[in-house]
Amino acid sequence: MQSAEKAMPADGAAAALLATLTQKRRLDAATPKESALWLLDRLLPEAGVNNVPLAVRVDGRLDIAALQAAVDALVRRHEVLRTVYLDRQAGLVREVLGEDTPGPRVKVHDTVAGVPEKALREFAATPIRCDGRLMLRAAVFRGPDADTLAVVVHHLVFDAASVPVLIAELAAAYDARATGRDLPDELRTPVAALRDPAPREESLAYWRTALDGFDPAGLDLDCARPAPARATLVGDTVLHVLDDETRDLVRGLQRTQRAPEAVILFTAFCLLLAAHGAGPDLVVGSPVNIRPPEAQSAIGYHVNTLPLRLTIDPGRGFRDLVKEARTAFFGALAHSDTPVDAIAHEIAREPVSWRDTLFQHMFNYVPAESAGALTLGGTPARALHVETGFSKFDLELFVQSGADHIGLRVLYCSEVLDRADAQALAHRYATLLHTVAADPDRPVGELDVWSAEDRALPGPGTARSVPDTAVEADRDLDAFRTSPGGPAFGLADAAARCAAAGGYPYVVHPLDARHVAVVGRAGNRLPAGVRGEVCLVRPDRATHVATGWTGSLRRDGALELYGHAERVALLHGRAVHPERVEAALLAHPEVTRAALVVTDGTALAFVTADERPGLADDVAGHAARLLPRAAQPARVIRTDTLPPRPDHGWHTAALLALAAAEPESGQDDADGLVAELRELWRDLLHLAEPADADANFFSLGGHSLLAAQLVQRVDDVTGTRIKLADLFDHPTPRSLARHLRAPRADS
Amino acid sequence: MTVEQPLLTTAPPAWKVLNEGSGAEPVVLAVDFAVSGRPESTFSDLGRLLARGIPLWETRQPEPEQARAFDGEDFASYWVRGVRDTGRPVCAVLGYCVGGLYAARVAQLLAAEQDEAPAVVLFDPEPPHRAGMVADFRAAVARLSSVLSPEESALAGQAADEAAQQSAGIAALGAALTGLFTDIAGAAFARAGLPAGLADELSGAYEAFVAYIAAAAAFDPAVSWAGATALATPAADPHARYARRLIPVDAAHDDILRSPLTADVLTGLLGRSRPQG
Repeated sequence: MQSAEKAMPADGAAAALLATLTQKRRLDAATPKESALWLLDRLLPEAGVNNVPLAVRVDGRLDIAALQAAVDALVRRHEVLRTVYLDRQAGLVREVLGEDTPGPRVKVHDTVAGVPEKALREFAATPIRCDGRLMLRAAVFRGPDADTLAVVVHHLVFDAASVPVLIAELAAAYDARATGRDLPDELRTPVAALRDPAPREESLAYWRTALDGFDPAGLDLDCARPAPARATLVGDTVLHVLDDETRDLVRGLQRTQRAPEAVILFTAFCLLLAAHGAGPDLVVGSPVNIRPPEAQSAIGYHVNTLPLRLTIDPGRGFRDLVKEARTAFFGALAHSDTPVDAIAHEIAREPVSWRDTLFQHMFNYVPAESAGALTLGGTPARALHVETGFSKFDLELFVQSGADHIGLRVLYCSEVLDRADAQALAHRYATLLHTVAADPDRPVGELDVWSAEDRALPGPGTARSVPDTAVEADRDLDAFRTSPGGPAFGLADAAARCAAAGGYPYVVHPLDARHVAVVGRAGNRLPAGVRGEVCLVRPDRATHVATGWTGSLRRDGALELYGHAERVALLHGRAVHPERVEAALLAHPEVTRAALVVTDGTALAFVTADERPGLADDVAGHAARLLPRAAQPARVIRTDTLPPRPDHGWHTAALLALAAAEPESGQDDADGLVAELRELWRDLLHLAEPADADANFFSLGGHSLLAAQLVQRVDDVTGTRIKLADLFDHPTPRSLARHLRAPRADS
Repeated sequence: MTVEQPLLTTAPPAWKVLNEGSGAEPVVLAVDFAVSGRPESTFSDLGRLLARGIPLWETRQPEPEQARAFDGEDFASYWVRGVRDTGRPVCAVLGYCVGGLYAARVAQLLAAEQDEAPAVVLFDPEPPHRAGMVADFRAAVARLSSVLSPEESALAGQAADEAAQQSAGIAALGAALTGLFTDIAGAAFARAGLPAGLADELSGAYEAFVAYIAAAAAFDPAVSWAGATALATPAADPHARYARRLIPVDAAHDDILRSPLTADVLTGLLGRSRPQG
């Protein structure tokens, strides 16, 4: 019998490896602000949503070796650039790598274009992961006669204010290295990472009060499409420069309202949002630089996004709203040590989707600095603006205010807004500034926000008309085609035909554009792209008759119908059009007809399809892929026929009786998966017993970080790695089990 | 009058029943360290191809604490005791790869106690050797890929190569590789913030495997296999020719135990070795 003597390896590969593995490391738990960014990375791992890009175009050639030396020097100097993050089971941790850590290698790419926009955007959008490696990348795009330096840094260690600092230091380091000189002393001095102080208790209390009672469910814009099933945060930008007259009006308002320009512009933005259906109780996010005076040029993530709350009371004038906004502004600045991430989870509400943040719109006021002429190695250079192609929010307004011009940059999420909508919003904002400057005391509910372009569109015009009850003669106005050149039907009939044909929203074509208008809550006519109530306008143009349908006019004159107002259901706090759900169900290849019945806040989906085992689960899974969670039916019930009512619609009582009679077939848990998940719910949420099969993880106290742990545990138990977003879409043991069992077409 | 004790049809802890057989006829034993999910075929695969009437038992490994101190003879005796306790006669002992060395010794020990010596049938047999053990180490390190960077995995492989050069013999190499793996797994899991128990599980499994492989070096294939029949694929180790009879099998090495050709040959061999009537 031999006893093995274990000798500790003294040299060679074994020793080197063990030394690396057992090196003492300082790992700190990430702050809520850092964890919030990481969570977004995990929800969208293929998108660089947290990237902060910068680029500098040089009218000549860059010395790559000198550039690499400059990059390495900055990484050595700035501890923050050596800060890396690791994804651990318990959460995100932060570590600082040693001073000897080499910087990222500058990759050189040859391009054909003078300014390689596409290549820059791809570079900016490539994700940077929390995998223990440096959080920045550098590249040079070599064009025919100009080089473009591009750097992209993860927001965890960088922000917009860091950009000019990094560019200036890179230029200085490059200049030295390119001429064979040593780095200037100041570039060799190490800079420790600035740590933001934790929020004071007093600030937390301020914010709790400020946000008390706020319900973020009311932030959707009437010009936005319904949220997609799974967000990708793809975005785009629209630019608009205010003309001189508007600029002067804004400066004037600043004087007369005795409020900072940022507050004026912010109030107008809120007004714009409210005019499009958001609010009236609004929260808009606004980032604030929290660097202390002695560290103004610190590189890092030193911006807190503050949730500014403003209620747009239609009976009050702009002047009053500005006063309120000013109070909110200064209160926020006085308590700017609290990032929204520190309190967001306290605002009690059921998160219906991971996109449910406290706000969906952001306001950035950027005083334009006149940057001096930039040179790199003596060659003239200029900084370029690079987009990542993502938008974290539905709408983000950047107002760049310079000495003699005010420019708007509208960053919007292209999943919910078209480019035309974003442009329209920019023009309307400019128009609104005129309107409120002309009459700052008029109740804002009486103001129109429509631009000159809006008023120029064909149709019944934007004059207001008065609602009236329908009479027999109105039937002549009720004429809509379901296809151009086809026969005309009454609106209800046309809608029913669209429903049967599938497709959503329903598209109909008014026989006469002068007879149809989309009207807002205040009775004002809405321009194309903005949702409201579809009305028939009488030839006198003075009165209109409501049809009961919600819709919007397209710019080509067609009418999009979203649903009948009588059928709108409140599910999980969000207004849902059953027509949208029915269209999604109908898209399933085996379903021939579909009806959604909502009772007691529960949505039941009835579908006609041939019977087969697993059909209901299949259709439910199909709906889950097409619809955001708020719109998903609680149950899918197969039936042979859908009993109709003579005046359109379904025989609800008969359907509900059918649902009550049918056993809940979803009880089947042959593989025990639901039972295992119920145990996991219990473990992570510290429940006394296993959770119900339909218990929502987030309703029971689960938050995003616990969700990340649950994803890990599900992997341990089932061997399947689900995405964090999957858990938000399927937050109950039963629905998650169904998702796990489904054959994965997209994995 | 003596009451005959019914012969056991359930195997003791040292053996796992792959095929029950139909009665109390002599058992076919198979020696292998079958890790489930390995790409190479196993005796379970072969068992599915054999006639239902043939009882087939496969070795189970001893507990890690025992195995740690076992040498080749200890392993063989452990398995022999296990089958002797059942009273079942054994008609053949099969061995896969390194298991071929144990199979021969087990058959030899059993021959002393039954009328007919069990036949020894080997499948791509090979003695333990350095290159194979280093390859096994690299495969085990590959399972740590979630906690090691590619550079670190490469360094681990290098460390194994160095151990192979520096170790005096197979036993010493086994001990060195086991120690290395345990240290690396432990440190890597600790660095990743994962529970130590997980690292211990992986290390324990690797250690048991290495113990089995290394201990077989006690047996000399030239001596052990002199009376055996070996089925060999074209990729078989050269030591297979020490078998008295070599039957080529046209299959990939990974597939030798799942090939119908193998099953046919084995059935033929067993038909000749089983007692008539």
